[in-house]
Amino acid sequence: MELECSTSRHAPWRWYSLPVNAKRLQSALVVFCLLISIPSQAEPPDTQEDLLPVYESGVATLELGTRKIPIGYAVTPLGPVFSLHAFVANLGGELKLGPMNQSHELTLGTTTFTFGPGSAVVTEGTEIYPIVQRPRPAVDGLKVPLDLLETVYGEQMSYHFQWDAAARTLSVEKLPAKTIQAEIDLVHVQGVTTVVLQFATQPRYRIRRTPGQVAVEFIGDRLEARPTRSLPSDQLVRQVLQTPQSIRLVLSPDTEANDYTLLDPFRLVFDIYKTSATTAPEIARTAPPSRTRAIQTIVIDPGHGGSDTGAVGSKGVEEKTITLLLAQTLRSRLEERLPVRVVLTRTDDVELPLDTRTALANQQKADLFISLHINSVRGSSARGAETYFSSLQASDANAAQSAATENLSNTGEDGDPLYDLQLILWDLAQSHYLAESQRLASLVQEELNEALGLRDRGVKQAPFRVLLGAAMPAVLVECGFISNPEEEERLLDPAYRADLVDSLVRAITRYRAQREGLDSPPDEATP
Amino acid sequence: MSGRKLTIILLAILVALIAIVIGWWIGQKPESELPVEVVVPVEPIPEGTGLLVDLYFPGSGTQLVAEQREVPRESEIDKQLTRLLQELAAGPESIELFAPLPEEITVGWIHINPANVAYVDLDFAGEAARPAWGSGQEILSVYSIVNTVLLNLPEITAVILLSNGQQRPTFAGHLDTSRPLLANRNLIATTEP
Repeated sequence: MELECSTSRHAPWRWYSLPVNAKRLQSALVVFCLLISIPSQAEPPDTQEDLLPVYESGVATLELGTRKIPIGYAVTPLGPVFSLHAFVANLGGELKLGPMNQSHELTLGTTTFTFGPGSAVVTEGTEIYPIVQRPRPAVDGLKVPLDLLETVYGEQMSYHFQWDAAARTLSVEKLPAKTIQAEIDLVHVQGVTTVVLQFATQPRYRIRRTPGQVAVEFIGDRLEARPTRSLPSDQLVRQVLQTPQSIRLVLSPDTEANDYTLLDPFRLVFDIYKTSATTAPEIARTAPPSRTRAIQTIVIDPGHGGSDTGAVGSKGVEEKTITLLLAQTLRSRLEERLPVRVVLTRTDDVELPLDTRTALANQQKADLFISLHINSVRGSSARGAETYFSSLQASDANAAQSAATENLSNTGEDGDPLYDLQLILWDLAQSHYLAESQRLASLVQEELNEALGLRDRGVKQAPFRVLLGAAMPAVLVECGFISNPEEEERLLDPAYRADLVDSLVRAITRYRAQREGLDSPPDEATP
Repeated sequence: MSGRKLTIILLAILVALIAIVIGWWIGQKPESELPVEVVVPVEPIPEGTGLLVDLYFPGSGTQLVAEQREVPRESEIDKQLTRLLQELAAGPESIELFAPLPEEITVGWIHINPANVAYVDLDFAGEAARPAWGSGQEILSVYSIVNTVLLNLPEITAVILLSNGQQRPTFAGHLDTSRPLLANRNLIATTEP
């Protein structure tokens, strides 16, 4: 008796006749094979839900000077990963598990880097460094990508890494310290002294605070010795001392210094202010610019565009379409009725980064920036328009202080040298225009309420990205809720949109009249 | 085919199915000691030992509405933060309120740095990578998390929201999420929505 297994027609197996007990044994063997083979077909379980396939893995060579050290590695579609323990053992550092065992913490000196298999990112303090792929847990410890090593050991200890895929060799060499160049500016505006340290390349540094001093200490790098430009004498910063290792600010008594960084070029900025309540920094920072000018150029920003549709209504109406229609009409009406030049950030259905929109307004030296949007929330009951101006932080206290400065003067002298520095700090530029932005927002909201009978949702503040970099009064107008079917329908009506536009024209006209000292808006401006 | 052969084949198929199920189950078990997702086991709260917290959920308008809950009190701040976010992610009890995030967006890992700034990573899946939200929804989603964290855990100074492990300039084209966020009490409803 033969038992023929027909699982494959091309290569049938032929089992020889056996007693029944032996056949049972055969079956048991098959079952046993299945039991052991199925789990083994799966990759070793990993906590990463989107684990990348491994093209190759094994032991590579870590070349450290003349030493050759075996190191575990693997290659994924995103590049090689290496066993971190070998670097900790040979280059230094202390590696431990983070809170709740969700992350690893690698400490080099006083600096701790945090990373883990959950994310393609390394954090150090408030700094975040994206890396090409997530670290991979493995039997021989965590395997990490090359850019994580460059971020940690490269930036911190000046190591350079070179991977030779053919030879499966990772070479590591220590680079000499680099020389960095810095320019220092100091300006005092409305009770706040701002010191800007501008670097040609981003240095490695730490900020150390001691009583009466704030020091920027360079890690590994050295400051180039250059003739020091004389800085204006200042009531809050007594001295700025430079050495190859540090830049030190010597402060007056009872002062505090806030620091933040700006990019392109890299700048380290300190705001120094008295700690007494009379010169609270936020109030001072919201002081309007020291020079005024007639409104000549207005930049209108139709929100969203291209693949960024913005909100979509229940009938399929897209926010980007309505905002462009509104912007085009608004440009026509403004140019008809006011002696101004109007520029749209986009005139077609194209995608445009938020920062580019603001940069365009700054390049055009716009006097007003108005970003048009249509709102949406979950639920369909919300209705009405609302007008936003920027908040530097989403903090109530700051917002209240900003409001308190509304009536600060907007007059000043042309050619103020501070103006250039304000442009350097352009991504904080809106902080200087909060009061004017609030005034414009109030007028826009008032006109929208009166003309359209919309529910008054009021003037609000939020840290809108598109407003933060605007070096001019800037508002974001939410012209209704597309999530409300009734308002969605109205936004499709050209007559309704024309009414919305006329409200905006009236608000801009009133603002222009107030700012330029006109008693009343010119007749031709009334739609 | 004889009855005996059929019996053996059926038996083999049955055991193979069992093997597949066992294999799948083993494949699901993580070997690593480093869980990606934030998981804290749910245990009953002994009376009087819990922490009363206010969770801020989006209402049907443009405001956040607080719901009070009791969560287990943890000795470490990161565990307490995890508890808080788990409770927030579980959604509101009131049918008039909304969960802070759509289902396809989940809270991934968290980290608190030495300056007590909380990093909260949101996993955006598929099309949610660029949500088609109006500013109202974006504001409520972001500040539902930020307000819940900062107004319940005063040790935490600010919140940095990440998306799939990366810091983005904005989630839906409006709010600047490239900087640490502070609480915004103005969004909290003082009356029912």
